[in-house]
Amino acid sequence: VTTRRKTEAGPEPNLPVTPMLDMAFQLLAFFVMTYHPSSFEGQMELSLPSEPVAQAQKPDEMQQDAKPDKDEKLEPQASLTVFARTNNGLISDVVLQDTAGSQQADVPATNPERRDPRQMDKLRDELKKRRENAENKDNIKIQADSKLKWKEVMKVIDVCKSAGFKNISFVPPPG
Amino acid sequence: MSHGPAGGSAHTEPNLTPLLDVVLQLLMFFMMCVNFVNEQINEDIKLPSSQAVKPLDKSDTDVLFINVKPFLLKDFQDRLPSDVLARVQGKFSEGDECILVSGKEPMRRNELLYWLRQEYEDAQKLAREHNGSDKVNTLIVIRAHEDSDYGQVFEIFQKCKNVGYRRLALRALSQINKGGST
Repeated sequence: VTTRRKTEAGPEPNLPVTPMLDMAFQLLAFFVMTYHPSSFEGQMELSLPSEPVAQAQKPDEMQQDAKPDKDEKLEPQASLTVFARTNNGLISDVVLQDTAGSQQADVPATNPERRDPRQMDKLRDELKKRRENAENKDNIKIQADSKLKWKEVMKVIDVCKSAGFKNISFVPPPG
Repeated sequence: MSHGPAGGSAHTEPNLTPLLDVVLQLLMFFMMCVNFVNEQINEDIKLPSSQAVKPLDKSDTDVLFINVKPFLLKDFQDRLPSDVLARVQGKFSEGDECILVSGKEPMRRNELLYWLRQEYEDAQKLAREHNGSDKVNTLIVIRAHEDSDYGQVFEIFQKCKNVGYRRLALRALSQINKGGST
């Protein structure tokens, strides 16, 4: 068996680049047009109890009487609650409450003066302090006024997360 | 008189290979960044920004999006057929809260429960067929406009929970942590 050697310099292959370029341009145009610089969206999972809450024993039951129950809390075991108050959609003041034992101590975490620029930092420091003594170091509840804007709630969530709380749950707005 | 070099065999074709290289590079870039518009996501929503959010996990495939935003007619004018638009216009006035989910007209909060229940039942049926269990593992992603009220968003949480969904997530724009004040 003889193997053919390709040592001799033959005619240079002439690769037709132009059609390929045309196609590449077509594709490029398509991708440029569909290009959608996604804003950097992120996601945060909320903690929910794994089982349906006490009132329904079986999932079937729960479906049938799936009516909104008023004071059901999404996550019951948290010893700290942050209350965010508002009067114009923005946070006016924030109150921390811990339910350690039977005592309920209302301690204003921030200056009640509106839009204190350091309000959130103060809240963070206070939360960190309280977290050390808290029974449940991972969970925290947030209750906000119904009219508080979502971006403001997000600020409170941010502060809670940065203070070290992992699971954030929400309490129905008052009233 | 003769022009140019004698012989007439000079190649005047431009060399396209470097151009092709560049084009392919660009093509590669755009292909990598391609992000097809997800029909479940409403691009008009201005999400709040947050430092606590994590990058999206694309491995989750069983996801249901709920978009919450104030109703603005201009956002729907070119997108809905005129009969639907008229119906929607009758239902909402400018600035009302409206809920957008894939494949449905803009909804009010009270219509959401019905839709959620339907979706839940479908998911349950599907789960029963595939794994023989009733467990629904759908992740509900809530994309609320930054100006929505807490009360509205909370009600949506509660509805999802009452229907039986166990996994909920919030969307926000991730903000680079400046480690400081908000």
